[in-house]
Order: sequence, then structure tokens, then C-alpha cells
Amino acid sequence: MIGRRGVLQAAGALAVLRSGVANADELFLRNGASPQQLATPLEFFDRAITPTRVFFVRSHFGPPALDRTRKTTFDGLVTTPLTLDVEELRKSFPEVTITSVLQCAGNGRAMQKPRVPGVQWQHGAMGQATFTGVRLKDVLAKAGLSKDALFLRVSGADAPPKPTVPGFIRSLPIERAMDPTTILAYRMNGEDLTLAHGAPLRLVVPGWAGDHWVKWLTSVRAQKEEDGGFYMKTAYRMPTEAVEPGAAVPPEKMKPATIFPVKSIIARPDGQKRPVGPQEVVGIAFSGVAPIASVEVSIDGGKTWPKATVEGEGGIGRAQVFRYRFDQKEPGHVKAMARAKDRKGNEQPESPAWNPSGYFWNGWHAVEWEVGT
Amino acid sequence: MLGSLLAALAIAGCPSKSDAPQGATTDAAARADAATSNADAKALVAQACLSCHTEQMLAQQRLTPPQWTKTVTKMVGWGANLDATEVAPLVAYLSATYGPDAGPYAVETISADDALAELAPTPDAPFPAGDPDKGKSIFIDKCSGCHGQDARGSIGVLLVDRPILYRAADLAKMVRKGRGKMLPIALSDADVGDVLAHLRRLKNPPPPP
Repeated sequence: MIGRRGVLQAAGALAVLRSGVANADELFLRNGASPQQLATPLEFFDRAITPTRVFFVRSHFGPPALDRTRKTTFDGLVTTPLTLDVEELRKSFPEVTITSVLQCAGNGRAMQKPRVPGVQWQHGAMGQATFTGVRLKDVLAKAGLSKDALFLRVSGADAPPKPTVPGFIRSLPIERAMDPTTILAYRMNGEDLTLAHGAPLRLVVPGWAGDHWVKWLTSVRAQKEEDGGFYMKTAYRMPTEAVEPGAAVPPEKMKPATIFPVKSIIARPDGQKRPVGPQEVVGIAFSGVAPIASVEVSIDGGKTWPKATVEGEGGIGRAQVFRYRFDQKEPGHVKAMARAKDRKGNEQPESPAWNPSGYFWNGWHAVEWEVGT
Repeated sequence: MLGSLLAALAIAGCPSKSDAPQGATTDAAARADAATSNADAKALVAQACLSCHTEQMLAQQRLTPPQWTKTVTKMVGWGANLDATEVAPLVAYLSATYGPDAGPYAVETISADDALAELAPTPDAPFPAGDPDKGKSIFIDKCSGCHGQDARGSIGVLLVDRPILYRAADLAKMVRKGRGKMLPIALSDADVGDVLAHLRRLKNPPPPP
């Protein structure tokens, strides 16, 4: 990315980008200016790694000031509370790098019918990056985690705009916290985390919705109980069983929204007219439950579903690129739909069940374009 | 403001009580009333919503009156700047403007460079390095009434550990121009430097036990 910027600057092109006549691949879709709520455009989902420069941004209160020496305290039900900054974490624990999808629980909320309140994300509240840091379980082992600890309460330096607004506090079940893929990350795609993406330190919880990936991390507290605040007991909850669209769901029939379901998204074609001849449908597929087993693409309205090729390494919460090529010999209108399956047998639904907060939309994605001479 | 809004709503709801002549004059009067109530409603949006959200957050919603009522009620519980009597007119405006039938929402775009620049620190110059104690006096006198003695937000928003504290020119512009419910405040460059020196030394409290 830096290399590309350098080239653009050298060519004097940056001024053009800033003037608003920007190259589309340098743009975010802006669902909120302050705090920034920025969506990655669809076209970037034709590759395994989403560039940091256009990697989606979402937070409840916006970031704190940038402070790369900010420390994180690990306390609560531990024998030795620790307070460490990024440099101390790097020196004290083995470094690991994990490739994982980061997806907002509300990605696709705009597709819910009836509509529900919240940031009206379409497809762009997700991306995949490499995250480098240290394993949370290693730090907890050094702190001497008590067997009585059942949850980690995690929070960051992003204080709410007023003391009357509940703070963004999440609890992570201890078994998920101790999973070797749960890391405290300070680098993303090989570079120091940006402020918007959580600098200096954020949680990475592959397969789990983005609200668990707490940014600007300052406090990790081992506790017996799940936190009782708004962001655990009211927000980020899903019905325990399917409900009628628009229904009010009683609190006892709701549970935390954690693992995101199997999903595929088509990045290309982008709807523009294409010439007669070879056509290629490209996108990414992932599941928070299990690695991807297959991706199928239909160009005949769902009558047949030939398999796409799936590239790269799979994993829980890890996106893989899929491609489906076909020859369009005649001019006409083409509609392609994609659906994915994971290795636990979960299939992407044509139309997912509605839920009151609009989480985890994963319906079949379709693109349409004209093929002409 | 609220009075004229309620008056406009009352007129709209009770045409039989109006002695105005029929025809073009009535239409013009109705349009004028609608414009007035629209302006008042927008002022309500500015005071109640736009301290913490930008307009996009409202404009992308497509919610029914019960959904807007629930949302506004939640925000009032969290300290939105809204009197009890102002809830209904605000909900009415939001429902009429951003209801289920409001049509497609056109998402705006921002370049990656501009998005980065919005959060990046900028040079302090021309604002001089300030005296935090002087800054505290100025803050208590001119800012704390809305932002709280500890700058953690009240009518105004949190000013502790925020990127804006390292974007002196943006902060000065906002203070001098006013924003939402905040009226313009005349601060000299030296005052800005002093207030920033004070605010930069404040810390948010740790999370509750």
C-alpha cells in the first residue's frame, strides 16, 4: 500500500484523489463522519487480504487520542496483575500472525426487512487482514488466571461522549479467550495498527463478530460473571429461535451474538456491461463456524449450481477467494448468485431469518450485468 | 422555537379553527408554517442528536414512528439534550423525513487519505504552548458549564483523551464558530493553547470494578 501511495505521490496523482475525482479503489463508503463509520467497497472482496487503507472502520464513540505507549491492565481473578504496553508484550511473549476476517455483527443490516435501527451497512462492514501480536492465553498464564474465572471483561480507552452513556464493555467467555487463535494484536497487514483500527492494541477473535475485537484495549479483567452492562445484556443479542419479521422478542429469548455464519460475497463483475465471451465471477467466502467446504455459483436463476474454484488456505473465520468462469456466447442480461457451505455442513441461506438488531445477514448475493457485442 | 413548532402542528391538525381565507393565501401560509416547523425540527436535531452523531447516522435510517420513538427515548435516557415536551416533535420530524418510505439512501464516499487525515494530529502552530493552570481557569469559566468540570461531558461531549485535542486548528475553529447547541466562544490563540494544555493532562477514569 505504501508503495502504491508512493507511486501515486510521485506521479502527482494524490492531489487528484484529494480533489474528489478519486480513483474508486481509494474510496470508503461513509455511513458516518464522526465517529467514522466507513465501509469497504465491494470491489475489494476479490482478494484474500483487504488493504488497510480501505479496511472498514466502526466504533461506538470514535477513537481516543493516539498513544502508542498506552498500557493494558490484566487483573481480576489472577494471582499477579500485569500492566503492559505493546513493547513489553512483544518482549515477553511469542509473536504470532493470524489471517482472519473481521466482520461487524451488523454487516448487511440494510438488507433486513422490515428495517431496524443501527448503521445501515450493506456488504462493506468486513474485511480480512493479517493480525500480528501475542496470544491472550500466554498473557493470562503469566498473570496466573484463576480457575474461578469464567469471563474476561474487556474494554478500551474509547470513553463514551457523556458519563450517562454506557461504556463499551464486552465479556468474552474464558474458553474463547484461551483459544490459541485469540490474540492481542499490534500490527495489521504487516504495519503498526492505525488509530482507526485500534492502535496501539486490539483483541482479535477469529470467527466472532467485530464487537468482541475490542480496540484501544486498556483493561482485561478476569471475572466469574458476564458483564451486566448495556453492551452485553441489551445490545449484540440474537433470538434463540427464529422469530416473525418485525416481532418484539422478550429478553429471555435472546442470547449473545458471537460466531458469524457462513457467507459469500461477489466482488466482480461490478454491474458494468461486458463483452461477449469469457466471464468471471469472483468473490470471497468465509464462516465463523468452520473452514469453507464449497462455493457454488448459479447463472440460471438457481436451477443449477456448479462449483466455483476456491483458492488459498482455509480456516475458521478465514476468507478464501472463489472464482467461477463461464463463456457467454450471446448478448443478453446475466445474473449470477453465489452460495457457500462450510465443513460443518452449514449452508448460506437464500434469505436469512430476520432479527431485531439486524445481525449476521448472510443471504445469497447476486450481481447482474449486460453482456453485449 | 418549540412554541412555534407546536403551533404549526396544532394548525395542521385543526384546520377548522383557522379563520384564514381559502386558496392560495392559505397554501402560502401553510408552506410558511411548514418551513418554520421544519427549521425548528432541524434545530431540535442539532441540539439533541448532532453532538454525538453526524447527520448520516440519521439520514440512512428508514424507521417507523414506533421505532423512532424507541430510539429517541433510549437516547434521552442516555442524556440527549431534549426536554420531555420535545420528544414528540422530534420523533414526528424523524419519522416524516427518515421513515420507511423515504426512498433509497445514497451513501457518500470519502477518500482513504481524507479518512486518515480526519484523525491525524496536526501542528499546534499558530497556537502557543499553553499554561495548563490558566487553561483550567478558562475551561471552568467558559466550557465546563456544558462539558462538565472534569471535561467528561454533560450537555456537551467528552473532551478527555480525544484526537481533537491534537488538532488545535480544528478545535479552535469549532469553538469560535459554534457547533450544535454550542454558541460561538471567542478564545484568543493563547487561550486555545492554554485550554489544550489543560485538557491534554486529563485522564479518563479506569473502568468500574
